[in-house]
Amino acid sequence: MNIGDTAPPFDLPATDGSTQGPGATPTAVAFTCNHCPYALAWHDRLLDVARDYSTRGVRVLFVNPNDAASHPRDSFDAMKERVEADGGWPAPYLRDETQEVARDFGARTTPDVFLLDEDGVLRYRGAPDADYDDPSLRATWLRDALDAVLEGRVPDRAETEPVGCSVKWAGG
Amino acid sequence: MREIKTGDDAERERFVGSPTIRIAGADVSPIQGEPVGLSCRIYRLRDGRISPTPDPADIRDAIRRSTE
Repeated sequence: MNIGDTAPPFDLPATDGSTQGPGATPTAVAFTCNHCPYALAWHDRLLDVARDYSTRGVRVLFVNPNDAASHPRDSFDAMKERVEADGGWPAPYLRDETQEVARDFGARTTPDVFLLDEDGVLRYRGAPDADYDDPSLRATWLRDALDAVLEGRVPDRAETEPVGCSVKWAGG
Repeated sequence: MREIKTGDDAERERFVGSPTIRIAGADVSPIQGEPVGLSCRIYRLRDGRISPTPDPADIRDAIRRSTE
């Protein structure tokens, strides 16, 4: 999927028993997982984005597409246990069991973040910020893009290189 | 440098994730209870942060131990 493309709609099961997908509000779809050190290093920053922007109508969807057969720590049960152990997350954690959503989006790594505007058009894709190892960056690339979308502007930085562990494809 | 390509490779080498750094056969940052397999490895730095690579101080200590 390229910047300016309309994202394919999806509905995926969440750890809380609901089914969720992008709606008619800006939505950040963050492909992530349980076991990747890059995803874990950026995780709190992405949770903060979910908290900080929820009052502005933004949704953040965490999507785990990894093959659980080869990586059991990414199973749906393991996802539920993680969220429960954390006392809940401010955003849903969705299971992409067939990996179809990750394929449709062209997700390459965990994390890999796709920001859709209220019409479902891709406005930003890439890493949350410049350095997984620097929490002070606060996912600023994503925040800058969100601010632009909320103001009806095109983000100055629409695409960055996703950084992280490769998505674990079934049979890969 | 040794590439672990398959689950069998991982089993044979008792490989618990990439990257694994061993000096004189000893893991520079040994971890208990980690399942063997083709996975990304999570390291905890000495200041508590999560990292995809070991703390440099752990590598230095492992080198020091190997030469004692």
